[in-house]
This record gives sequence, C-alpha cells and structure tokens, in this order.
Amino acid sequence: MKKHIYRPIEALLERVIDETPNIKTFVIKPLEPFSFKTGQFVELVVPGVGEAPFTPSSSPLKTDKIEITIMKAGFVTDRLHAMKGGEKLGIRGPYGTSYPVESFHGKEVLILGGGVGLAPLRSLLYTLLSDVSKFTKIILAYGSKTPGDVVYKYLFPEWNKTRGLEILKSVDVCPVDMDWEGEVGLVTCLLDKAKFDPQKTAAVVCGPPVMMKFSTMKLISLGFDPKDIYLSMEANMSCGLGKCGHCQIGEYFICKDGPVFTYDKLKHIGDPFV
Amino acid sequence: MLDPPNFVYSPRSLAIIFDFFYPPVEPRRLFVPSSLRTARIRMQYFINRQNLSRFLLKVLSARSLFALKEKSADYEWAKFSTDTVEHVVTGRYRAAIPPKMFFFPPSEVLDSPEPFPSAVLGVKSCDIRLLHTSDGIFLGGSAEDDFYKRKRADTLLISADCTDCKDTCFCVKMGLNPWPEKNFDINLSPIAEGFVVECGSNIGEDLVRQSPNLFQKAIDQQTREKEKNRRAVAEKVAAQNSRFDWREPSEIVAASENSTLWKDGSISKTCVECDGCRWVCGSCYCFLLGETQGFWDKTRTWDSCQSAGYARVAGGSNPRREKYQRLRNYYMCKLVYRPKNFGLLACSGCGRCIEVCPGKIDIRESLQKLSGAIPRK
Repeated sequence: MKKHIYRPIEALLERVIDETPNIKTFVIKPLEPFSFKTGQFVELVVPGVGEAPFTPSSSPLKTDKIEITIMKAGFVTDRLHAMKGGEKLGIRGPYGTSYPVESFHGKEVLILGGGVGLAPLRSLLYTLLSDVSKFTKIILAYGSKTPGDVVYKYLFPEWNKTRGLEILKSVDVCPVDMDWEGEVGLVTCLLDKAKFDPQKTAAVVCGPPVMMKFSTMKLISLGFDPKDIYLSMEANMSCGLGKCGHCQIGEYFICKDGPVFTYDKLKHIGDPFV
Repeated sequence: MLDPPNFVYSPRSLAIIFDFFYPPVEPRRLFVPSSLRTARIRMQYFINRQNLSRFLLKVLSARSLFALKEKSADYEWAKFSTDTVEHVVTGRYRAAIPPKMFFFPPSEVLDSPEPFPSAVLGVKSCDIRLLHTSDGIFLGGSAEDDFYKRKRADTLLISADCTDCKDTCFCVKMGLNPWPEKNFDINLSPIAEGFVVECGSNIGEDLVRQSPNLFQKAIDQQTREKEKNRRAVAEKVAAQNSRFDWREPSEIVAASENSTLWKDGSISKTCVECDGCRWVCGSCYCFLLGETQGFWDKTRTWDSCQSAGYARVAGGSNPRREKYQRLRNYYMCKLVYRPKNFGLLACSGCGRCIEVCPGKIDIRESLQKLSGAIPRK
C-alpha cells in the first residue's frame, strides 16, 4: 500500500462493548505497530463511509490494541455503532498534543469529566494509576445526565478500591425509578465536595463544550491558575495535520496545536467553548 | 500523469465568481518549492514575440503548458499545445481564477503523488504571494502534503508584469507591486517590441541560457521602457485606491475583533453565504477529506469556512454559528492568523473576492470602516 500523510493503516474491530444505549466501546487491533500518548487523538476510518476523530480511552502502555469509546452522534458514528467484531477499519494518527503527565508529578490531579468526555480521561487515569505514587492525590469528578448514561460502570468498583484515587460522581437528573448513590446536580457541584488545594493541583477537564465552559469558570473562581487548567478541545478535526482548516479556533489548529491546551493559551479567544 | 485541472472548462459563472514587499518571513517555517530555488536576479534579457513562441515550443517538449486565454474582459487558464502556442498571452492583469488550482484542485483523489511536469505562464505578482501563502499551509506545519508538493515542485512558473489593472485590484495597498519581484522561475515584462526577461531561479536561468539564439541581453532602452510601464500601472492601481487611507490591515482587523461593525455595521449584512469569495481566493486552503470506493484512498474537495456547518461538532456546538462570525473569521484567517502562524499576509489585493461578491462586500471598504472604529495611533 502506497504511503502518504492521509492514508490510514488497517485495523480489525475485535469486539464491541455496550456502555449506555448510545455509547459503545470499540476494541480495535491495528494491523501495523501503533502507539499514542494519552490525550492524543486518532482518525477512525470506516472504509467507503467516512472518518471521524476520537481520543483512545485505553492505556497508552497497552500497544497491541486500543479502545475507543464512541457516542452515536452522526453519520460515521451511526455506521460504527452498527459494526460488529471482525470487521475492518482504518486508523490514522496519532495526532496532536498529549497531557503533560510528568509536569503533574508531586501535585494533586483533579480530573473533571462530563458524559462521554470521560473516555480520554480514562486513558489519562490509567497513565496516572500506573505511577500513582508520583502524585499527591488523584480526584476523579464525573458527571453524566442520568444514572443510565454513566460509562464504564463495571470499572468503578475496582477504581473505588484504588489507593490515592478519590471518586466523586453526579448526575444532572435522577429519574424516580433509578438508583443513584452519588450527587444530583451539574458536575460543577462536585467541586464543592472535593478537597484540593488549587495552588498545588492540576485540573484536567473534558466534556461537552458547555460543561467545559462552566467547569473552567468555576475552577478560576476557586483560585486555579489558568496555566493549571488543562482542556481537551475536541473540535471538528478532520485532517489531523493542521491543513484542512476545520478545527481552527482563533489562530490555533486544534488538531495540531491541541487538542490538549491550558486555559491560559485559550483565554484570549472570545469564547473558545461555544 | 494527472489529468490537467479541468477548471478551464468551468461555467462562466464560476469564472466570474472566482518584498519587493513580502512581509518578514520566518525562514524556519517556510518551505521553498524546489522549482523556485531563489537566485538573485542577475541579468535582464530581451525576447521578441516570435522567439517567445519558439521558446515555449521547447518548454512544451518536456512539460504541459498552461497559460492565459482572453475571454471577454477576463483571462482564463487554458492548456496550450504546439499548434496553439502562438496564441499564448501574458495577460494585462490576473486571471479570473487563481493559479492555486494547479496545485490544489477543487477535487482530487489522493491516491499517490504523481509527476506533474508543467509550466504555468501568466502568473501575476498577486498570484505569486497567494501561492506562497498556500505553501505555508501545505508544506509547513507538522507534515508536508505530498500531493501539493509534487505538483508545486514540478511546475515551472513563468510570471508576467501587469500592464493594466481591474477596478478591483489593490495590490499596492497590500504591500505589493503589480510586477513580481521574486519566487518565479522566469518573469516576462511586456514592452513594445517583445518582452524583457528576468530569471528568478536557477531552473529559469538554465532554460534561458540553453537558448542563446532566442534571448539577447536587454539594452538600456528596453529596461527603461519596462520600468516606465511598471510605474504607470502601479500609479494607476494607487490612484484607483486613493480613497482608502487604511494601512496595516492585520492591526486593523485584530483590534476590531469585537467591533459591532461586523454584525450590525453592514460588513456582513449583505452576505448571502454563496461562498464565492472563498472559491476565487488564491489563499484559501480549507478542504474536506472523503472516502473513495477504493478501500483506502481518499478524495479531497474544497470546503468553505463560510458554510454554517463547517465548524460544527458532533454534539451540535458551533464556534461560528452566526454569519458575521464566519465572515469575520475569513478576514481574521487571512489578515491576522496567517501572519501569526506563517509570517505571511494571506491577501494580495487581487480583488477577486470583490469582483465575485453578489452582496457587493468590498474588503477595502470593510477595512476602511474598521479602521475608523479603532483609535488612531
């Protein structure tokens, strides 16, 4: 196969894990060596249909397979959700910047996730947990719409047992017929419950734009330095190489200059979260 | 061999729709196409019309030749052959469509980069800057685009002075003159008896030297005539833009990002979102990657940041939901972001966007309005 910068490598969809009614995790085996750093994204190609950007949710230390958690939200993801184990996919990347995990050493790490935004954060969490003694504390604050929209339900019991990891959960609403042991309210309400020192904490935020906007505002009001707030700006990325222009926000190409940014780099842009 | 770009057959509507002064450039971020290896302009030659045709026959023995063809008041690009080469014209002003399409066609299959031995004749000063800006995108950044690079590297650029201007031309307001200074292989300056020829690259110099019977050393009278012609056109362009007193477009647009003029002050009011400005712009680069039926090949087609759905993400959020935000982004991209990222102003004053706009949006007028909205230094 002739190589060029837009050409994907072949991959095999090994299996599909149902997370919620509209979110699935895809276990993918690239047929050529493939590795990524936590926070980087890939373009997943459905041959003859299209491609879309996703950030792997598996540990970057696991290089034989990658897992990608995908919400059904459009043309390509609809097709992906209809796929079954054994089908062929393409994968391009990895692209963009990663979380500067080493700069978190000696600090508290506050991970703030919303909805399917927990997917890239799970990859970060695995990275942090692989070297957990390097961090003072890890706090995972996760908010979803309802208890039925929580992803990785089967992993929380194990995470709850992990030393050095504190987990807080919230749902926007809890229907009367559902059980829920966490908070009810927007994800920002968890920031009032969590105990951290804003001066010694790196906050990592990923979720829908509106969640990121209000989470960032809350973190600033709690005394966080904009340099300590890391945002995963999942824009409309396409080529992944800073060429096609789709993901441009301000002077940045999110695919090349991001997707991981500190708020400090984005705050001059009118409203980067809209 | 790739098929020649088919835009020469585009409908008339599309044709219509369509240092000394380079700003400081950061060398590490800029790509210099292999066909444009810069060489100091050393010698000026003279060639008459008949010998130019002979020279182009030689060029045609190794390359395809695309040049200008007059069509009403405009010029369109056409492929010339040995039978038609005598009809090649250098053009009084730029073609209706920028030469970017030779290197970044409106639609292409990204299979494998193929040789593209071509010569493009009639490229103007404004077009050369526009090509330089797309070089920044396709050849700079995190990876080089093999498809663009191959075509760019394989193409001989034969530029030409403008001998007249359209009423939409404003190159002098964007720091350019209506004649190329560098980044060409060969430049032709029309004079009464023929052309004064300058070589801007080693390839151009070699080609000229290989035909000593066709080129003579230019005499003083000829170079003086060339200079006189150049001054006359520059003065004409300056005169037709004398009502605009703005300078430093980057600063004006950056300082007025939050101006209400974008939305309420009629800058975007008459925009009908036809994308015409984007299609005729020689510095626009946005594209859409699509799938082909061939399992792993991709198609690339032009896309427009003026389209409402262009920046929308899967969840429905859109950083540029409103029309005025998109038009503002168009100006910001060319006049603020590209100088910031690539050291190049991505507008050369070719005026194609003005010519094509059904809403009569004139970037010169917009800058005039915006310059009044920010405090003068």
